[in-house]
Amino acid sequence: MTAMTTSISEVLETMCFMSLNLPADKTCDDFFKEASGKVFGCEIGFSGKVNGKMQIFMPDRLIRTVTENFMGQDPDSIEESLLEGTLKEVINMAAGNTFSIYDSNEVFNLSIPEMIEGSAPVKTGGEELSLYIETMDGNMAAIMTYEA
Amino acid sequence: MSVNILVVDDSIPMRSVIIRTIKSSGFGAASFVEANNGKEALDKMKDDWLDLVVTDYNMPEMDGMTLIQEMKKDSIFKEIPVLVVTTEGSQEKIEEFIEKGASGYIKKPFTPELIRQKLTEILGEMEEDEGFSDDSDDDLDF
Repeated sequence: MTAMTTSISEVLETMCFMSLNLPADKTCDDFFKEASGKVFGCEIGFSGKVNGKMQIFMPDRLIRTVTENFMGQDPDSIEESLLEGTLKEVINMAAGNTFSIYDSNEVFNLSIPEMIEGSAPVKTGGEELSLYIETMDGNMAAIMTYEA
Repeated sequence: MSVNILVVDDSIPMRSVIIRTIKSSGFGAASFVEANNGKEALDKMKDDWLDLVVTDYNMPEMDGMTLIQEMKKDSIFKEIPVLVVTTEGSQEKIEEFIEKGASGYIKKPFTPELIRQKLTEILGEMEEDEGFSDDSDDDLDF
């Protein structure tokens, strides 16, 4: 959990200049209950010492701000393909960084990130770690499911 | 004159952020050429004189490792330094990049300071308004 939290914080703070807060009294389910409007979801698979997938969900407003900060572009001129491209890069960096924090002596292979149809968590078996994340520009959710 | 940098990544947002970060790093004047993958990068190298290649590792058609290997087979391209920008964090992968001929690597996420440090290690110190290519004329050996 610490590796995933640190990793997502580093990615969004370093690359998108956003600071995060993780409220102790909120869960991932709260994010989906509260979310209104379009939610973008993306997932990436990983294999190695542990196997599984990471998923990240952001509402339209937040992913526009993330993309604006990431690419240095006006949010109103950003096409949806760039929003998706940015989310794919965010999850790619977050997953890669998580595993280098977790164990830099192990090789973890990452799959190509893919957008999630329906923008709701895809439930799989195994252990689950989930985060409800607050930012100044909206809230997001991150879920990791894995099997050792 | 400025340093001419080829940025190779299949992600438009990532190419954009690499270019923006280099510009904001204070490294010095730089112009940029972009390619979507290793294969496209080799084609672009035939058209432009390049001082540095900054490449991703995981890309469709031709990945960053294969790009480095192909460059090393060419008498001119083999002299161009390559900086790998990657999410790969394992020591094993990093050692493999260097073994295959990369001049350095940067792990994502990265800061402007780190980019500047790596560019300086590879290309040397530059003033804001002058580029590596300015000083390289005497060294050209056609």
